[in-house]
Amino acid sequence: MKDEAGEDIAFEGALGIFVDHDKTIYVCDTDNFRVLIADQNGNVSDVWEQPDSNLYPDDLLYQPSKITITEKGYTYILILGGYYGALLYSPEHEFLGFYGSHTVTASALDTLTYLWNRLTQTDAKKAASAKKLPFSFVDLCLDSEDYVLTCTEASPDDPDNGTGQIRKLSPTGENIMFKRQTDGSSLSADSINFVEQKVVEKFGKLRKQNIVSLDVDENDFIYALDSQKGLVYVYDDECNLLCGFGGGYDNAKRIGIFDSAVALCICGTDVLVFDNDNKCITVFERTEYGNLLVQAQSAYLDGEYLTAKPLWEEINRRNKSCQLAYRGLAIAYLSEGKYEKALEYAKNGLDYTVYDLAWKAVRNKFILNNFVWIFLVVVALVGGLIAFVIIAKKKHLVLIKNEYVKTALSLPTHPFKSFEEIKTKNKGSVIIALVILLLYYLANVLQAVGSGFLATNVVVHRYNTGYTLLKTVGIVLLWTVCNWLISSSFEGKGRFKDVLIATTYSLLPYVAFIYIKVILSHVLSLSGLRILDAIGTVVLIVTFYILCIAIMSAHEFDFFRFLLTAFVSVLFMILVAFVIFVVIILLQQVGNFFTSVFTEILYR
Amino acid sequence: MKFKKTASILSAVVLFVTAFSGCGAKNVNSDYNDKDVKKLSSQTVAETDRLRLDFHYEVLNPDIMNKRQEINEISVTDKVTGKVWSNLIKDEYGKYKSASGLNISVQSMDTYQAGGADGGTFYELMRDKNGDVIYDEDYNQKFTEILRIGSEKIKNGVKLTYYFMNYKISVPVSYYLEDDSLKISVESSEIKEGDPNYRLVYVNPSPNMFRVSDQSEDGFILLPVGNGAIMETKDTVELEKEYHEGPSNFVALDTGDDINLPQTARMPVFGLKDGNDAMFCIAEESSGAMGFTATTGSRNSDYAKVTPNVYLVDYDYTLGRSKDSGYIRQLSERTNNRITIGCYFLENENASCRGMADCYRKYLEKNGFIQKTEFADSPYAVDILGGVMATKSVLGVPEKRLMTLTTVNRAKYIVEDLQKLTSYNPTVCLSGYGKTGINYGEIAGGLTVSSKLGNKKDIEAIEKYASSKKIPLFFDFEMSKFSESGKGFGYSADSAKTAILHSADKYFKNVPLGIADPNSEYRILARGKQGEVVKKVLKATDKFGISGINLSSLGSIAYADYNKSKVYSLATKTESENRDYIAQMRKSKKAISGKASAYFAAGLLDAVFDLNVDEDIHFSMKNEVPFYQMVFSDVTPLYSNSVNVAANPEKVLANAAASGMGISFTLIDEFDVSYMETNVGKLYACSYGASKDRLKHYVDTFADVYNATKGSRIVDYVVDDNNVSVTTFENGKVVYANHSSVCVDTAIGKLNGYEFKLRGADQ
Repeated sequence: MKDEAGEDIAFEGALGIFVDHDKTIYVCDTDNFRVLIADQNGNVSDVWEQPDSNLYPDDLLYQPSKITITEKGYTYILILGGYYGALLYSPEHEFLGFYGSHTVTASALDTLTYLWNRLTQTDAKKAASAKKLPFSFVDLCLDSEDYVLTCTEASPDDPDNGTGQIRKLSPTGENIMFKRQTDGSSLSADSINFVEQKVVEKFGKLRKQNIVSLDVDENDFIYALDSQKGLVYVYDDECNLLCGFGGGYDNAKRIGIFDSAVALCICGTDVLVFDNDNKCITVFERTEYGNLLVQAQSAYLDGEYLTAKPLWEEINRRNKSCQLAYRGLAIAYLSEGKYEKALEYAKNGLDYTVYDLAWKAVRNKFILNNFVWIFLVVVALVGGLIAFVIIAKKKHLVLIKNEYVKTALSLPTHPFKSFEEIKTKNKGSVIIALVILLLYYLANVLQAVGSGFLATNVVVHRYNTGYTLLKTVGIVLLWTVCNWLISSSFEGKGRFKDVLIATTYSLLPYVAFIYIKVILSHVLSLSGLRILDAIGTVVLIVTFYILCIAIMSAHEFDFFRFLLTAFVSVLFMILVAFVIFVVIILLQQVGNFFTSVFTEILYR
Repeated sequence: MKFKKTASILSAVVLFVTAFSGCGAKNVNSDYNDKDVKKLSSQTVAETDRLRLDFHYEVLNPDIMNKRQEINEISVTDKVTGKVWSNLIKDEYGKYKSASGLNISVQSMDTYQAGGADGGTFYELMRDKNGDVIYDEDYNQKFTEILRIGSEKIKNGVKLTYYFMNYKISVPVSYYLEDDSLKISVESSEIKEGDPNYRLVYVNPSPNMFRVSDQSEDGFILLPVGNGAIMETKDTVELEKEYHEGPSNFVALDTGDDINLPQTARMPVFGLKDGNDAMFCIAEESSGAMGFTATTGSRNSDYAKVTPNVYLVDYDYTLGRSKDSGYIRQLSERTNNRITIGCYFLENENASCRGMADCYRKYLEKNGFIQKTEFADSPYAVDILGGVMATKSVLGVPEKRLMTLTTVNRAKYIVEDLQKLTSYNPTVCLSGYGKTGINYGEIAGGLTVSSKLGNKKDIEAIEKYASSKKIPLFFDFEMSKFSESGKGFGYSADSAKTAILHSADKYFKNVPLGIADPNSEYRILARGKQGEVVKKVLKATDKFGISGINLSSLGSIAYADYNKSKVYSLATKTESENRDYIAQMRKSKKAISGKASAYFAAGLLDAVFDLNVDEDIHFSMKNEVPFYQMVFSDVTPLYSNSVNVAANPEKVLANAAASGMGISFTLIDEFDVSYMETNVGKLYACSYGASKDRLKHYVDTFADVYNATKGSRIVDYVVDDNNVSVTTFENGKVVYANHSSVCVDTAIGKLNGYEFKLRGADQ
């Protein structure tokens, strides 16, 4: 570049460049604290320096690192290490202030720590303590509607890769990006992790991923570059991950992966990635499959499901693992009224919303086609039931003769009376208690593996009944033991058997509800299931209520004593669980020791 | 009580021995002697019709302290062209420049022996007398006080012995002529190590012999990366490039895989072109222990060069890290194998990749590595996958079980259908038909065909069909990688051992992320057990009536194994053993194929699958050259790695056409969404039903070019600035292939992106 006098202008260490629609070049000359503006031939026509404004803080060094300019001429400049947000200039180059800064999130503990430090620390210590500052943006770009997209580096405070690395800012600087979930709900991009879930450990250090550069293509699909692993992630503007490529993990010498990826840029449909260590720019061309995927997803996001259908079909033919294709086809079939097909594809694509809509349609169609029969069967069933109740009352029919079973079954409707009878007339049975416990366990297993598609999100092939056994039978038994031990020391009268019976009998309404829920989950839609979940909460409250009565009755406690023992029992349960955990770890270590000694002996 | 006491003493002894035995193993010769160093005067030490080998001895500045310099130069003159290749470097005035005649790598053992975690520093070269670490310096010039060089005449050559006095290490290097080639040889058994604190790790015999001037216009270095690759040597100081490759496929040597090398060298060779001259080098002995570093555009010299590193000991990374962030390496005992690099000199039109391929071909023929077999040739191959291990819940308990991808009967249907569809017989490989499908399990898939995938009747039916239609059919058996004990092979007891006698655990590596998948651990079968597997594989195939065997293992060309360190250390004998196995199978009338096979198998097989043709090239390379194909293309049908029909198959097709190879496809019968969780990349886009139309299209596109060039050697291969390759075949056919996505003009008209065209001999 040359100045007006024709002298060369050095700009070593410049970190950002932008070319506007007039082909004017803007260079962030970071180390020289300025922005150079030049024509295509490199003749510098203007130099922007630190704005002379009260809005510009004194402690912020003007080191421009990135720059972008909207169609209307508004300029956004990022300052190296600045956490105030981007500098915003009017088309007349008037400094308007800072835009879109991150905010510091603080937990209750942070606040308490802060207050404690304020009270206890000396002035010197206070001055030396580090302030928690918002993260600074590291790159920004504009989408087709001139919305600003930014990316943020990983926070050293986060134990993992964090969330909200990519943001799309409204004119007021709020993040307006969201993800449409497959169950119909929306999630703010602030809660989304745009990189890998797992942080990789290498050479004993956690290697957190850092998104250092981003750009958007003509479809507003976002391309984000992670410097740690050298991966390029492609997201649509609803935060759906389309693909990831590149890589290398700071040890790459092959073309297509990176040693030290630092910047990314979109040129038409090509993706350009700059590798600092290998001193090269890698140009990725979009493949035929990539074109199909982009076109299909764009049409899908625009609601043109039928336009996207043939594209998704082709993608599905080529790649049976593409979940987006299953989702696209599901909604296309739904639009065409082919509900059975829509159900099949929605299930494969784990798209609960489309499945729900298709299922409602299928169910309504079935009801309409078979309304007469269904009506007759329901009338017959209800009529039969009423008739049976009347006859049973008149003839004094006793369906359940076993007193123990009778007591157990009457418990949900008459809890006080039932537990009184258990306590005084010894009408409780350990066998029934164990059967209820077994039913409770089976209900949980069935709920996980036998519920309708809309009611389950468990990956069935990975489901392990062992964990369910621990979560159900294990917890009930632990509670029984702990409560029995604790209550005994609080002069509780209940024996172990009494606590077991009280606890398991109390579960009966909840167990019954789970079985009903499993059956209904094959019939109900998502809205029906939500009502069912609400009922489930009520049933759970009732169950706890019955448990209170049961335990109070078993130990002959008043309510406050019950509350106290229950609280201590829960603490004791945690303690016991901790001890078991420690013992398991110790045993594991002892096992490992003997294994390694054995291995060493074997090797020598 | 007495018993208890005895037991506790015994336990203590066992623990003590366990903890301390083997640590810091030494290999010290007490007969190191640098006092009686022999000196030979300058003379021509050997001469053949073509070459002359000269030794030059001279002492520069004999009386000036610290400037005294001994010159021990070896130079070989190509009498045909007059070109002189020397192991030392002179400037334009004929003055000797700083250059080493031998580089060595030494590990300090002192701190390690004390047991400290910071010890075991690994020096790339040596230290000077002040204790500063020096790199790539000249011992001849600067450190004469710590280095002596002895010289003596041997038959047809000269032997230089380098005495590194500070470390009490002496290394003899022999230079001799044999059949118009120069051999540079190190007899490891004659290496002396006299100081227990220093261990020799590897040697760079003659590090400056293999160099090309960076002013040479069309100079290049040929490296065996992938199928072969070129580094340009023209002066590009601003673009200093270095390529490093460890010993080829050393699976037990180093438990940490280098993600840069998805496909390691299949040939232990390299070549250099300088003007009208070229030197082609073959690691003729201890090839499995040789790695190399190639450098171009160096700021420090006027040369581009290749430095071969020959490892003399194995090492393990397992002991932690030193304070300077280097690894502490535990060294094994030194191997006593002979190291020989054969240098062949080429001129004019032979000073090219083709000339080097010819040279290598002759070497392989002479040593019995090539034996032409008549075999049905097809433009395409299919790898049909039998089963995959996937997790299924059985009564709520997750269980890994074999899921069917393609039964033998369905495979037969696919083959029949393909034949009708494409009107060509495919070459067929059935993979993953053992107990654990395409996942590693028992060795050689448990030496059986899973009953879930087919029975003897089914196999007989497909064999009968293949035989009647002359379709080459192979069942794949993985003979080296395994993850379960069984069939007489123990996962722990029979796996190859590293330098410190630990089993070499290996993992599938996620290349983009550069991390190992801990759920995919496997081990390598001990070398001594391979013969046993071969016998069992033969027996199993006889039982099932299988006529063709594919050995994935032949792709793993060499691995060290310290179960019997004297026999197998540093990957010795791999070539001869594998040749024996192939011969044994031939005797049983089996057809044999291999995947990405190494040089010692390629010329002896009926088909080679899985040759990489993707542009998986190193940054330092200008472009790939089908060097491997130049050597083997008319001997054995060669097939590319699987074409990804979902993405840009045209690119692979263009590369395959330019390399004179067939294309291959991976197929399964039908896809089930439950396979998504298996994480087996192979299942991507290979459902037969969904891809058969595209497969037909690609075979039709490709077949004409393949049929015109099959069975014919590549005699020339050129890539122009537009990324268009021109491959000339021995039968006169020329294939133009555009390796870029943009349309370009060529001598035979416009070529669209990734298009390839054939020009006949008459055109």
